[in-house]
Amino acid sequence: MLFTDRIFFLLLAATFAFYYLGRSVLWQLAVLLVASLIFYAYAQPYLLILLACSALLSTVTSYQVERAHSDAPRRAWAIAGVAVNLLVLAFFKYDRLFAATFLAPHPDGVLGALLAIPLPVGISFYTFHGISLVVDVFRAREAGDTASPLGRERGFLDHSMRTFFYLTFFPQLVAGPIVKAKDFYPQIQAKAFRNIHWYGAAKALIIGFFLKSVVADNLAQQTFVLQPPYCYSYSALNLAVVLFAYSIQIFSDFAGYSLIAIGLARLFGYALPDNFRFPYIAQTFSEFWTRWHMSLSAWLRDYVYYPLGGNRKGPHRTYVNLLLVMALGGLWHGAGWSYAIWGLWHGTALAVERGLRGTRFYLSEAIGVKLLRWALVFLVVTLGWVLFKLPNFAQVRELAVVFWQNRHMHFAVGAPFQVFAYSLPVVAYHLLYKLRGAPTGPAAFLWSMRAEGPLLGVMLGAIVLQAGSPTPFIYFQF
Amino acid sequence: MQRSLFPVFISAALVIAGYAALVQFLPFKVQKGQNQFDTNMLRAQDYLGRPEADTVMAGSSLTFRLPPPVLGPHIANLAIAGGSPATGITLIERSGARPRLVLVEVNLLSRGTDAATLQSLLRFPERQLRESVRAFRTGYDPVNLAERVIQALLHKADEDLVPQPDAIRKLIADQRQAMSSPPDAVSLNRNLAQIASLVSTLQARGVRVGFFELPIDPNLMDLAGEKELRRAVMERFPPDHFCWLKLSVPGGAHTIDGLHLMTADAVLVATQVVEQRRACLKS
Repeated sequence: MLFTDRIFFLLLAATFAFYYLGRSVLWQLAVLLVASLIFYAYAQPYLLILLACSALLSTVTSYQVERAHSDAPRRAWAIAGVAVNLLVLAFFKYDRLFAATFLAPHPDGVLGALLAIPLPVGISFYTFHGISLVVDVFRAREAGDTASPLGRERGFLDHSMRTFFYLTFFPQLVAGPIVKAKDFYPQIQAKAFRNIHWYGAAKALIIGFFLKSVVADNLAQQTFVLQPPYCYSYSALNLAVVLFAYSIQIFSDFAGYSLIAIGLARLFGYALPDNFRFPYIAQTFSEFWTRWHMSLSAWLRDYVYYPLGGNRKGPHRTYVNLLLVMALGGLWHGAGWSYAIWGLWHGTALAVERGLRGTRFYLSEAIGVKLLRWALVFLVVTLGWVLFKLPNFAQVRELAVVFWQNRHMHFAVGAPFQVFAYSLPVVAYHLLYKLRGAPTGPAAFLWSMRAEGPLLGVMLGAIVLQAGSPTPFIYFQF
Repeated sequence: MQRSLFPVFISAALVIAGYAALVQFLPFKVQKGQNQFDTNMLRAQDYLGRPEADTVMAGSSLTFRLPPPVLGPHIANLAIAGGSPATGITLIERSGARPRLVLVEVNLLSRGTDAATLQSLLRFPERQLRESVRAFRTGYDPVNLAERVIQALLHKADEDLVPQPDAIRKLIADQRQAMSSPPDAVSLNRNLAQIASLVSTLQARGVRVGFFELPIDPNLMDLAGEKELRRAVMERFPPDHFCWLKLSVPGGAHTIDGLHLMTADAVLVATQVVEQRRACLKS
């Protein structure tokens, strides 16, 4: 089910009404659990089996980690919990990549049949949530914390209910934001209707739907031309404009989704972490990754980069860790070598930047140099998105050839006009953030609370008048 | 204290109402969307709103390229770029429209009916809302309207996007390879059966149905895939029972990729459709 489907709004309205009918945490968890399962099972009910199995494994292992009285069993259960989640992810997500690279399975054989199982929606997110749960409990116990990150629980059944809820909560089930167990469990308590933060929820929902329906969905109608053979009809300059549009589209699509998830969670009294903070103003690659998909960056940092040693084991090991973490982060996005290359592309950029951080280019405060740094980051990030748009290497090569061959072709004005129109709000959104400190002038007015309400109203109007044809969220495929 | 949502809803209502009022009294009609999909929707919405044309063409992106101004007011081009003729015919059947003649393209029959497009066109209350408030119709959105107005003010015609000659040769070679093997018999038979069923329903309502094959690149005309497709279609809709248009381009069709006609040839073929339509109406 998509957040933009009509049926979703019916489910949301019914869930909201039932949720606040009861005042006990048990009732509210039950309502959200049922709604989340309907949400997930709507298109492919059989995928519930895997989700339930995965949740059960995380429940049992985290419970045992929590209850273990000595180090050895606690560590064993924690390793089992992480390993099982990684195995589930590897089997259902990376089976085809592995088979295509190392085996040549017959489509009618057992292996062929296993490979025909479609990628379960949201598997990357709920397995990461499961790992976070086990690791957070383990770390708290290892550190000798008396208060559990899971809060006060009453036995296995209570723990199961909370864990199933944490893993399946529909706003974040299929595409995040990835919320850590230690940040989510303490929030699980009875919620009251009078405590709903209506303005905050409405603001997140309006901006989210605006970014998704008005910006991303309309740009999607332009950016499909990057795919061969459509790209053959466009000049290199036109294709460059479209590539820029894809950069804006992927931001709007995912940031839009994250904001909708945050807004929906707020309606039920839950706070999900911010996932994007004006990423395209970044002047360094490391800054970019503190602004883009922040919940994944934080997850990879806390659960992979730090355990590998982070930057504490010398410069060479730091570079290796950066490349490794980014390659794994790339592979997390999709089961294809192109995603690993995309991760390495960013890993290399981070490593090179780290090596040069003491140079004048990175230390200068001159506006021109700042602009150059920003342009470099935006260019490298945008070029990297080609691997997202065209996960097939042959198509990337074909697009590069077309770029060269069509360099003298006539520049068509129509599509760039639309790209300009739809990108403008995103560009303005980033620029305004840069100007947030201005004491007077239009930027100061737009940042003032007086302008926010009418601006949100204009966005709401645009959602009604200018929404594009709905397309699936790009991150759903991950 | 919570902030009020009142300014948000008031300004949204003002924006929507103001724009709707402005667009409702525009002195011209928008005929092109921001992209092929929107133009599909715009043409279909126009037809559903005022089904005045006595002839309707159903087809794929190949027929989509036949320019409506050349086809004239009596022929509506309901071809769905990226879709199949079955979608256009189903739309006519479900909308309750009763044209005198429906012309069906037979070049691309590998796809079935596009349920999502049909649903978005026919669903209550969107269809009724679009028919009474222009601002909700595809093409009358602010960005497209601005683009059309600027285009009109600058007297700019639509740009024809044609690949480089080398690229066209490569695309034709790719098509040649794809069309060298026979089409998937299961999906072809399923789609033909679906079209036959829709044709019977229309005929029962007194609507005549004719067929046509658009000219494609001469190098692709006699490949195994094309021959098999032609044989299956002729067997299902024989020329002695149905009217068939004979469309051709002297010296062979010029296309942008082997299948889609270049603008000059599309105009020529559209003219032939206009000329031969009368014979179909009389047959």
